[in-house]
Amino acid sequence: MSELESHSLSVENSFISIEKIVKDIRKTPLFRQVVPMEAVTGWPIPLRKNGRVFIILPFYGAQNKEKGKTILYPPLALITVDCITMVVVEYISTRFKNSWPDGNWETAAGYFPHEAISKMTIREYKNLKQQLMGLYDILIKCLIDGTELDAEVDAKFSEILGILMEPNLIPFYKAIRPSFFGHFLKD
Amino acid sequence: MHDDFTNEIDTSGQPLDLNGDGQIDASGIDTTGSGHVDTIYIDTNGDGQYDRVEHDGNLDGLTDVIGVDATGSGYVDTIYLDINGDGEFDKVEHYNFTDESFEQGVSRNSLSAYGHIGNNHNYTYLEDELAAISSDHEQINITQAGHDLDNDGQISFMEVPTNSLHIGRDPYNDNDYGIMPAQFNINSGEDGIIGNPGEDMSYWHMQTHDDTCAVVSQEYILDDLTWQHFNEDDLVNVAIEHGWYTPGGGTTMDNVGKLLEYYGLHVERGSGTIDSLESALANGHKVIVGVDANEIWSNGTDSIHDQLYSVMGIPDSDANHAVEVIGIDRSDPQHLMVILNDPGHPGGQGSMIPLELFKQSWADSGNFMVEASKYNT
Repeated sequence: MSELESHSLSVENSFISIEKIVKDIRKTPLFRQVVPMEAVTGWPIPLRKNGRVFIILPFYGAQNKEKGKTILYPPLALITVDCITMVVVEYISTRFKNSWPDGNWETAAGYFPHEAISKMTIREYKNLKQQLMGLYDILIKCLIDGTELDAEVDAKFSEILGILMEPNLIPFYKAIRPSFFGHFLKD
Repeated sequence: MHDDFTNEIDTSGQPLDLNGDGQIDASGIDTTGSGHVDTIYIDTNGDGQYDRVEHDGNLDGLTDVIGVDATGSGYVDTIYLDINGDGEFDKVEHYNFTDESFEQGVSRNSLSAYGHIGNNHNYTYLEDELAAISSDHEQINITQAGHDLDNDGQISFMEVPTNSLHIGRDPYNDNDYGIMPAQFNINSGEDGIIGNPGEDMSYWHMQTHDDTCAVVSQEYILDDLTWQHFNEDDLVNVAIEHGWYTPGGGTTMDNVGKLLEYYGLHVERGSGTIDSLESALANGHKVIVGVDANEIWSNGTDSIHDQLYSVMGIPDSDANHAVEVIGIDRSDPQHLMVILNDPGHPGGQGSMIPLELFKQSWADSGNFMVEASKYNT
């Protein structure tokens, strides 16, 4: 654990945190223009291209009418930002273009909380999510620096993402970025 | 229906002399062909006009419906009904022949809905005029009105006009969602109330689609500022047609307010502050903001020890919801509150959120705010 902490502390100022990117995207003009405000942000997807690191943020519709059973719809939009400059480099309406067969956009694709986390307390969930966000930061820093991800971090990332990810949404994530989720969400 | 009760004395039914003065003052009618009199028309003041009707539909000896001329209009204008057959009247319907408005109220005994129906914008709370059903079955005084908003047969909250000025909710309601119910002076400007939440609350209804919070928030404002009644489904169709709303997704922030503009209202969008929000409300303008629904729904009451299956929404999911801000309550300087019409929550009519929690929830949207008014001021 101490090694994880040291990784976390080594993140440079140029990239602040994945949590800040997730929060700030909602304040951008593009988000206000094209993504429904009711949309929930999915798990970020890092990618490296042409020497720069980007984050793909998926957004999907959700319905909150019932306690303990938030309905999640298929992802409806993807926004890709430069993780350092926050410049948006791509927006995709997945209802127009997607990597999975068109389905019924108003039919539940999954639920929150799914079985693996439904009995977690809010504190436990937040702690686990916080831990995953910290691991994202380490991963992104490695991508920026071009260094290899520590095996322990790699395994921990895989373990926590596997717990927090709604199983029914995995096919969508794998369709968006097969290499990333193929690596971290092994069958 | 009321005209049927205003017949001249007609003895085609079974003539009755109820007070034994030798004069026919009532007529019993078998309206169902059962062979038994189930309805009696009565001339209570001897003017030769029926001004009261009593009906026992199931012939159990308990009067189910009484119609009276409550206002001296010469017509039966008010009907009391025993909905659940317990022998107690629990519903009143009143027709105003002057302005042709219709109002109805249901007592808490019925565990049913309470509604206001009017033919104009400025209908008033009926309970202030007609207070609880008393034992003589005529003096109705609905001092409390029960709302079963989630249709579970339990009253979700009560409207209790404590001194005809305040709206409050019953402490023993079944609303365990954690949000604070409305408890404020309904008069704008009184007791530090900014805005007109008492009236604005009357336009609330819960959104009927999963993702129409922004559409319904605009509907409240359209109903209010245009004095016309709008329907959620109609507005949804208009919004879909213009690309302002995506079923299964919702409304983008830039499109919040487009329906208001479409129907002729003036709209300004941007990032607000508490000061600009207060200023808008004080000027009679209407305000929609983007918030993190999970923060305001838990109202700080979700324990970190609560399990996920027992709470609403997804913790830490950022701004994802549109609500109308209808007032700010500064009556208690130590506990400043923001009053909302929240279309996404069963208890969202006039729900009160601590100012600090509201600010936190609002910040997640970059303080997104839409201000609407009738005119460009």
